[in-house]
Amino acid sequence: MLRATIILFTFHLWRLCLSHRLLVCLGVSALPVAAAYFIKTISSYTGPPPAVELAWFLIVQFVVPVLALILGSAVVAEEVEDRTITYLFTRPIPRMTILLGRWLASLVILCSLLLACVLLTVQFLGESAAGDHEHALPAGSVAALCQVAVAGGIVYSALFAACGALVRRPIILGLGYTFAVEAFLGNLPGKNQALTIQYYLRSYLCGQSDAILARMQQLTDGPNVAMATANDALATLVYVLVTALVVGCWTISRRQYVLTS
Amino acid sequence: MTPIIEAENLGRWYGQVAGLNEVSLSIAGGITGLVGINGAGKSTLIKLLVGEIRPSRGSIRVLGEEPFANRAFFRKIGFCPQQDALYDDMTGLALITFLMRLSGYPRAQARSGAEQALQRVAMTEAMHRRIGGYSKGMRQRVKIAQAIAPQPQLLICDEPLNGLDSMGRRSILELLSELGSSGVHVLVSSHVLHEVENLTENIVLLHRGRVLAQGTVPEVRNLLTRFPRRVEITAGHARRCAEVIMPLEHVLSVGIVPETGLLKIETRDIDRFYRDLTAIVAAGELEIGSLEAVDAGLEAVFDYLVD
Repeated sequence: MLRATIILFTFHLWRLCLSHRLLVCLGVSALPVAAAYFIKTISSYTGPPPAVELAWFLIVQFVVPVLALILGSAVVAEEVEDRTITYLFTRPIPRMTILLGRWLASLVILCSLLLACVLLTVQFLGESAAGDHEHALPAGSVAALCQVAVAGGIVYSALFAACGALVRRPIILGLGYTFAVEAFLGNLPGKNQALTIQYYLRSYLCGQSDAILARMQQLTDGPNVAMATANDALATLVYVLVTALVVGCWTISRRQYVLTS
Repeated sequence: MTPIIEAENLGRWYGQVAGLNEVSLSIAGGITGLVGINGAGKSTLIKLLVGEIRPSRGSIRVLGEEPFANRAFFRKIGFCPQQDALYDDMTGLALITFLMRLSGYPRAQARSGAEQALQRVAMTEAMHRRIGGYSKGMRQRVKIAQAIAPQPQLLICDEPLNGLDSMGRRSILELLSELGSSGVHVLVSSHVLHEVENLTENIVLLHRGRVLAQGTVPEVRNLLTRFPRRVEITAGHARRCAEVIMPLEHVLSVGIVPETGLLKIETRDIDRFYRDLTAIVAAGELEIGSLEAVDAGLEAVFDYLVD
């Protein structure tokens, strides 16, 4: 099983590197970087750059789930849609290795892009991303943001990969989930936030330091929802990740994919 | 001979639509043709045979194994699917090497196995080119190469001749025939009956999701007793010939085409007719130019069955 997973991982990683999908992902991950560059060097905006807003709203709430959707939903669905999954299904390998190998390859690209996105955005904002103005990133938040972006990417992509094993058009379902549940419900006041992955990412981020917690509460206009502890948030994220992978692996092992000729 | 494929009361439904219904069959080794018009259920049966889908009812065993998600089974078969879907961004060699590695071969063996398979389908020159640039015939050959590369016991090809020109079809038929001679069991589906007939006499005729007939073409034809066998003869003296043949007990009718002198004969016992005709010719009573059994072919048999 490990051997087949590694072969599929290598194969998919190599193909991803040459795919149009990677160009789309590069475009999405370049958005915050471009916004930071625009604000800092081109626009006539003279105040301190909105580093927290860019980092939280644009990267964690938009780039992370959208990139994970683009890469995660294709893990199984791309092979089904291209009707090439037959070649993999008729090999003496456990079917779940198809999901695992391809998902791991997607993760390499996803995490690399997310890390580059966070670091380049902060880099372009320069020193003004720090400081004590209301938009500045609190100390230690770059490392925390990197962790949150990677954790979010891993969990979301597993979720969308499982979704791709379950339904024929995962991108539509994923878009609905990303914007209706994660973006909308995740920002509504009230306990319903706890139903979203965003809530746990925010909780994890806030749990890294009091300064980050204070800035996030400022950003979301007050402490409208009690945050989970960092450990609880991480445990929940791991639980979602494992559940998504188990569901995905079980589905691909049992489901009959009827391919049209 | 132990059957390689056994199905019992096999049924497969797609919602309300029956893809296959009450199919029971047993296929021995060698080359077997799975024939029927489009929509007959050939691809559904093949999807069941290669474990792509599970039966809605009944059971199926191929090489003694249940196919669905069965790793031990996939070590024994090679499958050439109908859909024209390949990894277009890869070269033919890279694709087959990758699939060979998934079949459990070490890297070096996978590569040499892939090269041999591509050589066998005459794709050596193009094997380093991207599949996206291949012609339809080349893509078809790559699909067959990936199926034969792991040296399977059973090769299953779903419409392997689709989209090929006559030369391409001939080379694929020759290859399948060669594989059959080398001991590989081959199951080929096609809606082009005469092509399958050129490859093998063993056929399974499917129509509307059911097995219409199974066996060799002459065997199936002989079962169709309500359709007299038709023979056409050219002879030097057509009228004299008709006079000699007509009194034979099993001959039902004799007609003459005036322009050509062609004799059209209907008989209810073709074997006796051949025996009697041979005796007549040997006795010097007649001179025969040519003799053709016009409805002994697969196409005629299929038409009768569908009627």
